[in-house]
Amino acid sequence: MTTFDTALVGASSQPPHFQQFSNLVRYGVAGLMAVIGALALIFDFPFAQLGVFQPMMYALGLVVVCLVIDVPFRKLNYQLGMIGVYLFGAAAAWVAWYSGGNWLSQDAADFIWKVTALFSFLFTIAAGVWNAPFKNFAAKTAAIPMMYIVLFAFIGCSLWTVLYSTSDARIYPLYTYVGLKQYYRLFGAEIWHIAVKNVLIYIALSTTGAMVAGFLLAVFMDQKIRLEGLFRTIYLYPFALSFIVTGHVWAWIFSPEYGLEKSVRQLGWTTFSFDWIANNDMAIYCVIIAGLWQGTGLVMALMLAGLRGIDEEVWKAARVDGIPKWRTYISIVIPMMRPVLITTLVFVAAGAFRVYDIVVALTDGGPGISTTVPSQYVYKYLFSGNIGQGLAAATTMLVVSAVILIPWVYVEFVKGKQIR
Amino acid sequence: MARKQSTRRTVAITILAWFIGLLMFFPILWTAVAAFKSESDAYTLPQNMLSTPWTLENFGIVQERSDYFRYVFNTVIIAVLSTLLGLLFAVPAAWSMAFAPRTTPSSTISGWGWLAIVFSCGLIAAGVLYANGWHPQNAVVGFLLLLLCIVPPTAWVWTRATTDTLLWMLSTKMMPPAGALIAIYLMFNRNGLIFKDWGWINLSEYNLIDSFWGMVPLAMLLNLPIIIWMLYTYFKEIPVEILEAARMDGASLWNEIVRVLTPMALPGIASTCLLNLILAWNEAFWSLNLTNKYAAPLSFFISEYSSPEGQFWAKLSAASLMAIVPILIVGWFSQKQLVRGLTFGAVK
Repeated sequence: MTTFDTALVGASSQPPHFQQFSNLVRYGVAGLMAVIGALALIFDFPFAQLGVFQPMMYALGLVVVCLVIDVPFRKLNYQLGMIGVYLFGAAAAWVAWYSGGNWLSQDAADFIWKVTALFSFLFTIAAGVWNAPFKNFAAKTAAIPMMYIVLFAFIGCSLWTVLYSTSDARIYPLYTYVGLKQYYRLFGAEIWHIAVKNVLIYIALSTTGAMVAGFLLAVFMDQKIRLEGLFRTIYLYPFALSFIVTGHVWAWIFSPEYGLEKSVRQLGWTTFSFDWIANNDMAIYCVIIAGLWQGTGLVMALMLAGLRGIDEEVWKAARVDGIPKWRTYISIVIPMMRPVLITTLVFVAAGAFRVYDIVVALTDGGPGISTTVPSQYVYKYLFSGNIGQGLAAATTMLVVSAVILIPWVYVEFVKGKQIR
Repeated sequence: MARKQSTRRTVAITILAWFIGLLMFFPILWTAVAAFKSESDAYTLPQNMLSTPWTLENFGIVQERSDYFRYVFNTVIIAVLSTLLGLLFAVPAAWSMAFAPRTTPSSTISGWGWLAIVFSCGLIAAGVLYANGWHPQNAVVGFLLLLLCIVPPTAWVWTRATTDTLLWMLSTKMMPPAGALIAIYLMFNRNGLIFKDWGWINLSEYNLIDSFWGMVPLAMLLNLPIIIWMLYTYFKEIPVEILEAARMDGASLWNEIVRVLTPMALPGIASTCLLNLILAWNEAFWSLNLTNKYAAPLSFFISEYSSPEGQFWAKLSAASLMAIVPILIVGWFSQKQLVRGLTFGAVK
């Protein structure tokens, strides 16, 4: 029996406090807990009289029982972690129970909180029987709050979005399954096609523009200019300011009556015309210019970090070999900066894909619907009482960005780790 | 000769740097100038920038029409509280990412393999429920809820290191908020039926819209991944030996984080706070849609002036200037932290 743990964990890695009790005691305790759990589940004992407080009391009882049995076995950080697991199980059970009838049937809620509670039990038993999972315990425990937040607020909500995009929810998020009807409607809508076209133009131009301009700026900043920190800050200022605030200046600059057109005409060039913002075909390019103004500084700063990361020796070697500077940049520096370039590209492209506030502040989708972007489409339907349609568009956006991001995350974090 | 050329080069570079700087700063400058001009003079900008008289009347009118300081107060409350709340979650998480010793796999199946197994079991369970006559909604919601309860502990137990898992999760920040956070909006909405009646507390009596109880956690959620990411990059610079020494001397986990790590990482934490303050300060979408009076921050204050009817450039500029001045000043005095923060720790 003793070989069970040591075979899997290795005798040397056993924490000393596990050696105080024989495996017989540990299995005995686990078995006792299993029996108590089974009895409680079958007979709802002893909380059946408590009505709506039943799941709460049940979960609390669970915590108390497990703690009483467990305390002599473990260290404090282990205890805290287990309390976290129990309380989460209890909370989930509770939510399931009380929301029963609203978005779950009473039977379903009943089933779910019981399974949740049972799982907490099984988890404890597994932990008691086989302590291999509890290596690195403190680190994992410290990450628990954030894990739950991310799971609930980002992953859970995304799953909810995907789920309800197959419903015909209108003002209220009520679920009635209609299959892919919302998607047929979405891809049949003219405004969605315009939005997709706009965002494609925006991504293509603003990404290339920001990358090129940002790289040139970074190269420029790398020439050991005076007051470099100051200029870096100034170039980054547009990114630090909300576009809701700065957008109106750009609306002003683009405006034919008050902005650039009027200024240039007053300078003497009376036939000068710059009315893109009022032009259905050209308005999106105004958005792109403003977007470039905002995003270039960030690209510059990231690229500059990449340039600084390149070893001085590389430059010396290139100089010794008589390679001209521009050639060194193109043939040596840029290939060496590939990881930085890819990361920046993903950052900028992901930002461009979810572009929203620039459009709202500058054109608000106008003139007409010619500068609508997908995010706007989502919010438009969401807030005008057509939730299902908005969620279908949101799901489409999520899927597209996941297709772009997941390979990047994989290469960047998972594969890269293994090579190192 | 060479020296002369290099001097000329330096001058040229400096002039170019100032020119680009001015070009980048021009829209902000235009706003700043227009804020000090009368309404009719503002239209003649930028040619008559110097010849027209300067005035402070716009600020007075803006303050009178909509109480600027109340919006500042709201913004500060939301930004500061969400930052503090975020740190509460982020410091332990970043600690665990940066200093957790990487363990050997506890089994031959990887963490993601286990997740896949759990996920398919859940899927099968949902299928069984559906086949047994459960309504699809109950089966699917049940499946999701079970997944939400079962996956975290399983992942927590089985993954090799926390870092991989957390990095995967952090990548969700790159997802469009349109997809990820709509459910939260619907929860905030009084009309949203999710979690409406919990038996002892009826949420439809309490409106999270336009209240700090709603805005602070939301602002925290929006920026939490970035806070954790930033703290992670700072913590990684601290030699793990120092923490190990503290551990050897018998420091508990709490003391290790609070007494040893936090003081050493204080500049990093300050810089993270600055970034989060800026992001929370600028946050526009949710504050425009979820507030209208009581908890409205500065973004809402600006939007009051950019109404389509009647263009009040000077007043709009004054309001904009008042909204961005704190950031401009704070950014100026903490240039290094600003740059490092805005590039998510990439630039030191």
